[in-house]
Amino acid sequence: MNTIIYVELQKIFRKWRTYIGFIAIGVLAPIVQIALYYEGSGYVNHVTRGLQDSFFMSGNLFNGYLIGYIILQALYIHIPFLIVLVGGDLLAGEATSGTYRMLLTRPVSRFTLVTGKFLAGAIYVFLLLAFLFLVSVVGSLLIFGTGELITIKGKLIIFASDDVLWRFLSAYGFAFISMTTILAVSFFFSSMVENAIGPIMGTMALIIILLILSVIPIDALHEARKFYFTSYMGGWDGFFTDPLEVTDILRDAGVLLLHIFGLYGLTTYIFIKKDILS
Amino acid sequence: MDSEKIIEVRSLTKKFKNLTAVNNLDLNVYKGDVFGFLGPNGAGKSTTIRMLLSLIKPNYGDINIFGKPLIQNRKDILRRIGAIVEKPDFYLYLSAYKNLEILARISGADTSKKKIMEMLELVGLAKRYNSKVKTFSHGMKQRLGIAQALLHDPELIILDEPTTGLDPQGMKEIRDLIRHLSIEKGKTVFLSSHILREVEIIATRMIIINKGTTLVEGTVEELLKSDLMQVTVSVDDTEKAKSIIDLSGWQNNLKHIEKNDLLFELPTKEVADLNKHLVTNDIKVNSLVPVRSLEDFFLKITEGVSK
Amino acid sequence: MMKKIFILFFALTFVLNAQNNNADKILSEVKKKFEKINDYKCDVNIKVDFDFIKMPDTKATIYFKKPNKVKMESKGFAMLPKQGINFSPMQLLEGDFNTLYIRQEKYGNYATDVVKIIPNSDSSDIIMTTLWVDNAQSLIRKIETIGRKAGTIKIELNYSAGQTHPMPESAKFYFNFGEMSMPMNPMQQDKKDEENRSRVPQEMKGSVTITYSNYEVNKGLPDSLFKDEPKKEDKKKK
Repeated sequence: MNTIIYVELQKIFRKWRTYIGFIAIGVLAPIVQIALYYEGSGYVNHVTRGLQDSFFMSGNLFNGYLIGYIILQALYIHIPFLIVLVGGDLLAGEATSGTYRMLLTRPVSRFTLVTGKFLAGAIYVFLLLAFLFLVSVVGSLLIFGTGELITIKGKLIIFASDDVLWRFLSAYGFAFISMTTILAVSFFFSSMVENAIGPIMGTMALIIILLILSVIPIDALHEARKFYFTSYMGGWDGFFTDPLEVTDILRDAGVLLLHIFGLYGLTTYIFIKKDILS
Repeated sequence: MDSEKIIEVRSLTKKFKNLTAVNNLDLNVYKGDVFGFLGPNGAGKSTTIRMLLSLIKPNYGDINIFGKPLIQNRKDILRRIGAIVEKPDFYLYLSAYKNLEILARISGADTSKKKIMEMLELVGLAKRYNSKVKTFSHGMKQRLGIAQALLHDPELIILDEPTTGLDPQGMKEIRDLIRHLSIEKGKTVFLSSHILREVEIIATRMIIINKGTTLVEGTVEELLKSDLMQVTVSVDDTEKAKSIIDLSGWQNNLKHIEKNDLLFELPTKEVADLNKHLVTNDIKVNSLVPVRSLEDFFLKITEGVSK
Repeated sequence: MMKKIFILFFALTFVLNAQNNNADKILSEVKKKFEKINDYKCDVNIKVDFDFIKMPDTKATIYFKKPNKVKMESKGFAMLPKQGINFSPMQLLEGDFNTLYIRQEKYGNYATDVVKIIPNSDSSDIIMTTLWVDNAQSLIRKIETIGRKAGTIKIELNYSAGQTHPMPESAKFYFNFGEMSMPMNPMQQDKKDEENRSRVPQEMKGSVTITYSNYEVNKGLPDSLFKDEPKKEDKKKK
């Protein structure tokens, strides 16, 4: 299994499209950082305006944690598109290039292969998120310094600076589950076709459609939201509330994990049964 | 004494929706054979090879390789097989070297630089080891395909149309390589082709299939130089002729029916008797053409398919 | 009869005058205590308890210098009610105002005089301030301010026994800003927003408890200390 994961990682990271995600983050995050560097204190002022009449304020609410939080919020919805670039290619790419024949006549079980590929994909997801964390949180902390994190969740919440890092790490942990769900969806589509474009576009379209359906203010559609996996992907934000929305977070994570295992299981089943005709 | 059976296929059948690609096929490959697997395009060669390599699951029938059932021993068996299936496709964005390294790793073979360069040397790609495969010509890919099939020092080598797209020089090189593998390294080679000549020169035994079933099987000598003669008898009423043959004692000599042509394989001296028998039974024999060699026969069925 | 009426009127005027004098006198006693304070520095521990704000307790150091220089320093973020630094009634007693003696009242264990200060100017931020002044020690025990912008603020002050300055040891501020909408998070278009009623005006009230310690009084703080304050507003103006 380790061999397969190693080999699959080599394949993933020797492909140019793999780096699109890293480049996108590497470009977007600094743009947000630069923009906020010049304009961003307005953000804090906007939030604290109502209190400035009655209170003296000191300290730095406009700090690396806030920037890291803003970037995560801003980019979160777009990361799935970077995930499917790799996820949709994992199986279909082998079919397109005809390398299935070479790969599957090696002494490895199809189960090992499909699992190894999925895990390699998950490692890519992890690395992409780790990169985002590095650029947006660690980078912002270096530029803007540390401090309390201020968020608005119906009320104003200010987290002590030593109470923030674990929230970020947990939120990124949750993001990992969310993005692995996206990976699983594109992986599943990838197992059914012989061209990577289909699963990539298909997964993107699915996400967009579900997101649009989620916001259409019609009661029936609103009710159906609980059947869309996309409705559970925002659970990371639960770590930035006080008190922690433990049941919400666990429910969201649970639903996503079920999706991951379900889709992975289904993909494995399809793949093992499949006749390789490409 | 029977030598060891490397591949034993019984009643192998594969259907795709309405198409029966392989129909009740039997074949045996013995240790040390260079086994020619012949048939026109679409005869079911590739489907059979894919089943031998467990890329496709048969609907029916048994495959034993190295004396063990394939399904249950897939990993152990594949470890001992090197194969090219149809055209050799590689990861185009990786170098020749990296492609081989990856495949060797998955096979659990030696991944040392020395070993991989040795394989590239063998197929004459050592100088281009670091070039991405997308820059390779078809012939180079074909040769890289051979290299990947030999990487893990397999006992059985399955080559599906290995000389397709090669120039005459390249074809000769491949033939020499196969001979070398067979004679000096003692490998068993399973070689499919739709070109008889290619197989004729190097194969020790061969089988010709069409429409998923065996037409003829035997050693090349048997097939090329037997005192058995192959005759195509062209008649006006195939149905009637067949029913008469079925009762005549020649029914086992009737190998193939193609429209109005009946292909017989029978001792030369019986040809006249067969003709007489048909004519006396009111069958008009329009022509009676002896098939001079396997190639004529092969060309005939190949043409039959392409018509 | 006429005389009686005159006496009654005089007496009434006298009482009213006495009351006025009383209020002014009480305030000037308090003021006198503060006049001795040129500057001070102390550490504060701030506990914010609002429904609409959740934040950890914070520590800060505050500086004051006469007449109205203030500065707050903190390692992290801190917010301190503006009345939490300068307790001198002097700023209340600037400009045109009326004072009114209301009554004597027992506040906790203390006998207090209740005094109202009403600015005459319409432009003043404060509509009315009520002080509960401990008549034995001339210490302000409680302040209630009705502001134009900042809503109602009630401040309860505690002093340590035997202290030499008129600054409190702890103070609890009760705020009521009235109905306000929480600002929207400008980056957030999250699905949960619509659920959590953040756009619906809420009753904004709560308290801030401040504990003062390590007072350093009249040690001579330099003016330069106060120069960069307040930072936030500077930035905002850009």
